[in-house]
Amino acid sequence: MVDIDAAFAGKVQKGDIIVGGNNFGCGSSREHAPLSIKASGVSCVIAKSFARIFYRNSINIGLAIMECPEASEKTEQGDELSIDFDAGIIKNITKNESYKAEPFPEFIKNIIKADGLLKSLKNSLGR
Amino acid sequence: MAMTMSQKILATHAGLPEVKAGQLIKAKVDMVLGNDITTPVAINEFEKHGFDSIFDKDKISIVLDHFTPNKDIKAAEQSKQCRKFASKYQITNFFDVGEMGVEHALLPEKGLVASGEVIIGADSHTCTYGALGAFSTGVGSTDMAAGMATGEAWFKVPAALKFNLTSKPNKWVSGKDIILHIIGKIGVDGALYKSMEFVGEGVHHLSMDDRFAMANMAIEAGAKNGIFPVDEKAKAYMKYKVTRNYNIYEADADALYDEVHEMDLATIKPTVAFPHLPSNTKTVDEIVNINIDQVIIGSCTNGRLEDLAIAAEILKNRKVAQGVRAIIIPATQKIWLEASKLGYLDTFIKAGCAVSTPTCGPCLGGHMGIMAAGEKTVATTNRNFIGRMGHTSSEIYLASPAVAAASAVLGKIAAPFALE
Repeated sequence: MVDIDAAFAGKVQKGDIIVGGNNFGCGSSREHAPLSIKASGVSCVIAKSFARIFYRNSINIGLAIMECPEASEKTEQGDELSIDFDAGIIKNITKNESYKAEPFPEFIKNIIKADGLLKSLKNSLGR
Repeated sequence: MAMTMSQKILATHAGLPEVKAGQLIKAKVDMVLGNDITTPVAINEFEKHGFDSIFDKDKISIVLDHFTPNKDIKAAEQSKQCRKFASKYQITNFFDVGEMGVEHALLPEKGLVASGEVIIGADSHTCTYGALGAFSTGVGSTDMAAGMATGEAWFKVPAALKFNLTSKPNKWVSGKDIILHIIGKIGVDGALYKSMEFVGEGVHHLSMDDRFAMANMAIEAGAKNGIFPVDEKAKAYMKYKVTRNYNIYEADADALYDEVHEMDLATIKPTVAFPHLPSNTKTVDEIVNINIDQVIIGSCTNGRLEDLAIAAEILKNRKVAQGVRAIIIPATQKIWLEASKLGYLDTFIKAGCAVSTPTCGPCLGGHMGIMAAGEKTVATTNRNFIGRMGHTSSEIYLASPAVAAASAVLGKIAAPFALE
């Protein structure tokens, strides 16, 4: 994040939402990229599109992500958002707007809610 | 609804009558692959989460190929961890030094991957098996851990680009030149998240080794997978290697493609990707006097028997130029033996090349050919990112085995025509 906002690491707060553009997360096939975003307290990443492996890895480690071009275009720095993850609806409280994203199917939601793929598998296996 | 070849394979493995681009599905996998770098991470995740069984000991492959024969203590520890895990769970397809080869050359050779199957591997170039008409793609280590435990993976069904290949490539033009040409045309994200489906009568003029090289580099255009139709050549390749039944899928005639590219193979020239992106291509006739320090012929892209045959044809009764180190790495033990029987290894050594045991080695800057500051290598590998094969000021030029061998003889980047 240093390249976009040098002060990011200092000001990010628990529950913050990152809104990105196209091909978000490009350049890293490692799980460290979404892990560090998750560890910084970010609750969700919204983007127009995600780089392939970043998309997989985010879900697999339990970082909430949403693909929503409209939210990506209309949201500005500092806007307050409220996300209904199950329904795939992003409300921009500051602007009083609502954006529709494709909600994830149940099994993907379960992975994210369980805090990652392996934990969700453990839960479903009942072990 | 009409489906592409990749979509049909995924639908079958998900137990669904149809799937469409963008849909998220859970699918059964026929093979889960890892190497000596990615498997330890997967093992740690697997154990941390308390898993204590694997889904099928015959459907996991662990190949120690990246830093082997072990280059340092850390590499040795990673190999040791894989060895212990493979032994504990009696993993059938565990390949250690002496049997191993570069994973994406080894699995097809051993008949462990086949047409119509779904394969995931914790390695970017897992897409190689699309040459056999399989759906195969690179994933993360968590996916590998989950795959080993459950035999399943989730996928976002890819849209597709169609490449309609016509006519026959000219002498000295191989699958490597074709895929470099395509990546040069569409860019490193030109096929992002999509399938690259190669079709048309031109496919029949491509050898299996050409197809492996092309499917292998689909990821360098950002693709999720590259895939070829299964013709007589592909069936002949699998005939004695694959002992189980396999299924052949064809795209529906009215399947939807985001783009269709027409490619006349006869117009494609030997092509080289300049530093530092696989899409930064030039044809050999555009290149003037780039002196080189090293040549690498090998890797999961171009370390197969036909690649070595082409290199041997060029290096026979010739010498590697003064000041150039030429390193030849047959991709598997079987390829090594065949190259030996056919006299290729004699040819290479007499020409002044070093011949290595199979390893990924220099391709990822591991070992066996690392560059100093400012050096230049012509390599038959697949990635030429900054610093990938050594110092950050060193340069990698990606090329076919023919161009690499001719460059070794001339000491500068050249096509074999320059020797005629």
